[in-house]
Order: sequence, then structure tokens, then C-alpha cells
Amino acid sequence: MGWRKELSICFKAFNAALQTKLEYRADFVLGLTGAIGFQAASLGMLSVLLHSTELLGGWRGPEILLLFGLTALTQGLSELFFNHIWYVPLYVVRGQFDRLLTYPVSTLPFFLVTSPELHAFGNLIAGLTLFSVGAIKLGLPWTVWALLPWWAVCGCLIHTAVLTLCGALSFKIVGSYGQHYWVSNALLQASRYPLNIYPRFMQGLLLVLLPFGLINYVPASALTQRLPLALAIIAPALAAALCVSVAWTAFNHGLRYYESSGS
Amino acid sequence: MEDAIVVKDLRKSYFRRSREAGLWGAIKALIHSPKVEVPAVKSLSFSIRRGETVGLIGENGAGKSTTIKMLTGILDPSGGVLRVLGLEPWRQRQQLARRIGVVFGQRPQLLWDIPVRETFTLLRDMYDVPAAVYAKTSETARHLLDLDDLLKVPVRQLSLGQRMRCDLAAAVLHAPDLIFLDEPTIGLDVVAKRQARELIKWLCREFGTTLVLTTHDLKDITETCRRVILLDKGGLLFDGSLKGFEKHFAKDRRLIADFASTLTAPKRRRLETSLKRLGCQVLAWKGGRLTVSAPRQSLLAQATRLVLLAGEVEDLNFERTEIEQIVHQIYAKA
Amino acid sequence: MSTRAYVSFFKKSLQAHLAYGGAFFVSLLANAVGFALILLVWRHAWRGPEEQRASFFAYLTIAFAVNFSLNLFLERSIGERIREGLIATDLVKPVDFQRLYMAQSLSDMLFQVFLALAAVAVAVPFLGTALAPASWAHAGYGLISLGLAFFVQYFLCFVFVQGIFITYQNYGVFATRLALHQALSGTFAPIESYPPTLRAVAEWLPFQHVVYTPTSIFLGRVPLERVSTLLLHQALWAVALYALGRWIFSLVLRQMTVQGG
Repeated sequence: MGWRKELSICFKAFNAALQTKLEYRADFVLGLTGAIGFQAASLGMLSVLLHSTELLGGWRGPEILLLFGLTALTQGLSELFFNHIWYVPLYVVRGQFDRLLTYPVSTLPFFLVTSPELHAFGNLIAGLTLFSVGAIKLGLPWTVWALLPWWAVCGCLIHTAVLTLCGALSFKIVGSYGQHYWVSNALLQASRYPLNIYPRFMQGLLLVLLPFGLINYVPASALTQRLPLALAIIAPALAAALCVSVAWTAFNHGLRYYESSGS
Repeated sequence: MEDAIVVKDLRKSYFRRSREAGLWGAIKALIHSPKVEVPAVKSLSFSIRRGETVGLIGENGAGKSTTIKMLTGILDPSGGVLRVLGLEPWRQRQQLARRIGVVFGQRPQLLWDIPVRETFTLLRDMYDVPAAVYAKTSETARHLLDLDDLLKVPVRQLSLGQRMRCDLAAAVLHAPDLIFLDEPTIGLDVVAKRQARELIKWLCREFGTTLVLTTHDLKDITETCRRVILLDKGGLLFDGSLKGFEKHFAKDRRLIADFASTLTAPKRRRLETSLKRLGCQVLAWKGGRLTVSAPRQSLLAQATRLVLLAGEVEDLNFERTEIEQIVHQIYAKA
Repeated sequence: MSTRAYVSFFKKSLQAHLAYGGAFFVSLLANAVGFALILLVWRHAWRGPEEQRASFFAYLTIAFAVNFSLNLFLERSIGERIREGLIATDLVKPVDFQRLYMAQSLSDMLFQVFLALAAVAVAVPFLGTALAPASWAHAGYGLISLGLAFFVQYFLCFVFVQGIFITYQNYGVFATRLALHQALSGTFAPIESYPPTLRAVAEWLPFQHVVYTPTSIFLGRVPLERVSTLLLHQALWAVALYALGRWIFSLVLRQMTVQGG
């Protein structure tokens, strides 16, 4: 099947699933509060840090808001379109990939889009707010808003690709709750602070191996004149392309170890 | 015509970590647990021609589901040759998927968050089903399975039986060349079971679909299949026509007679002796009801004559052994 | 009702933890990474007087251990069962629902205490005596406080879980509680070092009694004469939350519809 066709099938499936989810109004409201509450809590922690020291790695409060905003935004996008990736461990344990594997489409993209999560909107709202507040306080030029979607999409792909690698691992590590996702999540949370406060190896890890730094740190560094803008435009896209292709290969390799369940 | 399915020396093993029972065993397993190979299918060979309807039977753990999962490209075989519609299932999964329909009764898996109707149109697009075929299959499925009320509801709100019906309908929308049904009637009530079998029969008749079916309800097989493959412990125990299967294993015929009044003890003894001499076996005497088993059809007539002469018979019935009993007997022997 | 049912449930759920060997070590890793990151951030951000440095990091370590031990994830275990319509099988068991899951949570805690101790052991070479309790009395009261913290945490989670019965949605409930917990429990920093507004909020809510109170008592960050007041506060919160949970649960049961068929 051509990729265009597959894309349109994925889009239809996403559309139908999103519509269904929107019918559950309580879910929507609770999801929003939950996600926004989460972001607020992390702001609380930031306020504790800034109460102790005014500059964090040379970054001021509003500058750090840019970092927080970009992460929340990409997280929201990933949850909106690809949230199903979190369920791979559960599907593996219960043998639920069976049905999906009998469909004539690529397993990964179709699987990814069929369970959008509404709390994504909470993170999207929080992310946009945090970023806007930072940008306005810093008096950034309007071109920022033209670049934001680009960074958000690249970031979303990087984030989802890393989670997909975790998903691929689930085929080998059969555990019901996918604890290894939380390793990546802990690193994502850490990457919201300016990376230069961390030791070298952590910076290397977050810029090269699991390039969460390219989601927020590199773009925000460019916006605050710490890095050339051109680098901040090209690097995330390259990282996203690389991550996606690695994750895709790993996931399809992982499927080979899928054992289904039952007799 | 080429064969729909060719299986030669097919094998599949799982690897399990062994661990002792109890809390202490669980703690020990954290440090070290040896890997153990568990063969699920051991050297299986058979082939199925196009248009054949085949029932795959066997106890739990006989390897039925594993076999179906290999045939459908879900599991990668550990060894052997496997061709389905001329394709290699695991490697050419997507190509194969377009031409087969699959139902897993244990876990109906329509897309969880999407209403059934949307799932149907999505599948139509996914499989590129021609409008004429879709009109026919969807109409028949809706009609035979009573789906009209279910179409608008998201899958997660359906009961298991309802999901099963929808899943069955979804699997046949593209009029597949080959259809695999793994326990398709599990969780269905008697009426829905009959409807499901009707749909399967209609499909095989209308499109010449090849059918491979596993089930615990052997009535599914007697009503829809012509051929039976019996698996045991990952190997082949029997492969042949349903009639041959019954002939091979079910020579046993039964005669049930209800006497108008209870026979006197000497009369009963006399009847029993003469039946035994004939080679028949008295299975039960309950009140006025006598059950006799005859090992061959030809003996049944003579046994009947003896019974009718022994006293006034109100009602007389003949029974063949049900396929279920046969399977049960086979496993009891093996 | 005998306690045997609960004991057996406790043992079974402990076993379930150990069943997946690989996952066990990975979850260890995830938590170690989370903790290391908090330390790394504070290593950079700490600006207090140098002589308090060790005691601040000792607080972070013990607070992490306490917090980790009391991770209950009740929303996950009960939430999954509610959403899949399995909760009915729990409700027809001849045991008290609130206590049934308390047995499971106790086993969660026991399991996690061992892991937490391992984390503390790793920190000993760096922080040395700063990790030791201030006195035997502080150690004893700290352990009592940890026990009370379990009840506060369990009954608090149980109240939040009721939200899942009503909405069938566990993310929102879980995220809301976890957000409040992260911001207000004092896991990330001792409550004294919070900015004034956040501190005022934290002091009015029960979350601080899950992590901050036992940690501070154990390390002697509060004088002995204040300990009894703190323990009393913990106990009162536990009782209040227990009663609140039972009351809401009885309301929920009355109008419960079980998902699916």
C-alpha cells in the first residue's frame, strides 16, 4: 500500500477516535485539570529553586519558562497524536497486537494514532501559556511565533521516537507496567532545566543519545542569543529524522519477539 | 488449483524462564532463572486446497492458536515451511492481510475507541473493498448478525458477545479468499451462535472462501466444515474428512428403548445375555429405559429385534456418538 | 472477617511484584535516575550556608526514600480494574474493599522500602553522618511517623480514587493528586525553603505529612518537644481522610454502574 494511502487511513482512524473521546466530557475536563495541575506543580518546584538562587545556570526565570513551555507543548502534541505508545507494554502482556497484525497496514503508525488522549490539550494550553509569558517578558520578536510550530513538530517527533524505542524494548522486557518508560520520562523532566547546570555526561546524553535537549534547550538558547539561530532550526529536524528512523526500525524488529498470549 | 495453505514441518517454540512456586521462588528467580524451551508446535505438516472448510480441533495447549497465529503472520515460526495463498506470512504480512480475514474470539479486538460503524468504513478503505462487494457483505453481515443497534456505539461500551458479532462481521467485509476463525463463537448465546454459523456458511458458499476454524463448540465444525484436523501436543493426530473422522472414531451406535412396564428380573437377565452374545453392551438400565451400545451398524438391527421381542416398547431411539464424545474419548486414550 | 484473606492478598501482590524480573531492575533504574536528577539540580541551585549543605542533601535523600516507599499507585491498580469492568469481582469478595487494597498497598510499601534503603546506602559515602537520625528518640519517632504517613497516604489516595469510580478516567485523577503531592509534600525540598505563599498552602494540606513530617522528625530537623504535635496532626489527618474515603465510597457504591458487560 502506498504511503499516501496509509497516511489517509491513519488520519481517518485518528479522527474517529478523537471524536469518540470528545464525547466523554468528564474525561476531558479532568484531563485538562490534571495536565495543567502537573505543569503548575513543576512551576512550584521551579519557584522553590529560584527562591534559593536567582539564576539557574545563568538563566533567568522568563528564559526558563521558554524551556518549560517548549517541553510541555511537544509533550502535548505527542499525547494528542501518538499517546497509544504508552500502552505497548500492556498490549504485549495481553497479546493484544494480534488483531492489529492482521490489518493490511504498517503496524506502528496505525497503532500510534488510534488512542488520542484528551489531557494533551492541558499540556498544549500550559505549554503555549508558559512559552508566551516567557517570550513576552523577554520582549522576543514576532518571528518566534513563526518558528514555534517547527520546533513543536520536531520536538514531538523526537519525544515520540524515544518513547517508541521504549515500546520496542517492551517486546523483550515483558513487564506489565512498562517501568522503563519512566526512565525516559525522568530524563525528559530533567531536560526542562538549562542543561548547562548538569555534569558533562548528562549534557552529552540529553543532546546526543536521547536528544531531549533539542526539543527545548537548543531552540531556547537560540532565542536568548546563546546559540546561532540557523543551528537551532536545522539540528532539531535532523535529530527528529534520525530518531524516527531508528525508532521505526527498532519497533519492527521488536515485533519479531512478540509472542502473543494464550495457547 | 494451487493450495491455499501449505505447511511442512512447521515448528514453534517459546522460551520461558522457569521459577519455583511461592514467594521464595519469586525472590530466587530475581537472581537466576534458567530459560526453558517450550515447544508449542512440533513438526506439523498438512495442506489445504482452495475452497476447503477445515476445523482445527485439539485440547487447550495442543497448538491450535499458535498454528493460526503463524498462518496469519502474527508469529514468526521457529522452523519449517509455511505458504499461505502463495505468500510467506510473517515476511509478507501486509500483502497477506489484504486477502485474509481473521477473528480471535478470546479477545475481540475492534478498535477500542471507535464506534463500530466508523470501524467498518475504515476497514472498507483499508482493504480497498469494491463498492459492490462492500454493499453485499456489510448488508448480509448486518442482517445475519443483527447489528443495526450496535453500529453507533463505541466498542468499549459493547458486551463481549456484541463485540464478537461485530468482530465477525468486520472480518468478512472485504470478502477474503481465506478466513481464519479462532474460537469465533465463544461468549455468544445460542441464537447468536446460529447466526454466526449462518454468516460463515453464506460466505463460503457465496465467495468460495477457504475456511480454517478452531473451536471448543464442535457443533461449529459439524455445521460448517468438511474436513477435520486434530492436533495433540503440537503434533498431528488425525487429518481427513469429517465423515471419515466420525467413521474412524465413531463406530459406536446407540439404541435407547423405553419399555411400557418394567421387565421382570429373569426377563431382563435373559435379554442382557442375548444382547451380550450378539456383541452389544448394555450401558444402562434406568427404570424402564434401556441403553445399548452396538459396535457396528449391522448389529443394530439384530439388537433392535431382541429388544422388541423382550416386551412392549413404547419408544425407540437411535443415537450416533456426538463428535464431542469422540474427541473426549480420543484424548482419554492418548 | 479474619485477617487471613488480607494476609494472603498481601503475599500474592508481593509475589506479583517479583514475577517480572526484568521490570524489577528497570523500575529500580527509573527511580534512581529520578533521584539523581533532583540531586544534580540542587547541587547547582543550593545557595545556603556551607555548613548546612550536607544536612540539606541528607534531607533530600531521606525524603526521596520516604516518598519512594510510599508510592502507592492506587489509581493505577484500582483504575484499571474499574475501566475494564473487573471491579465487580472485587466488590463481591467477602472482604472490605478499603482494607483489601490497603493490604496490597502495604505490600507495595514493604517492597519499596527495601529499594529505598538501597538508595540511602548508596548515598552514605557522600553524606556520611548527616544521614543518621539526630538521636535514638528521633529515629523511633521518625519510624512511627513513617507508619502514620502510610495511613495518610493510603487514605488520601483512596479519596482520590473515588474520582475514577465517577469518571472512569484515571489519568486526570492520578495527575491531579501527583501534581499536588509533588509540589506540596516536600519531596523536592524541605518546606522551610519554599517561597512564602507555597509554604502557607503546603502547611494547610495533608500532603506534607506523607514525606516532610517523617523525614524532618527522623533527621532531627524539628525539636523533640514539637514531635508529639506533629504526630498528632498526622494521626488526625489519617482518621479524617479514612472517614471521608469511607463516606464517599458508600455514596459511590449506591449509584455505581459497572462498565461493560
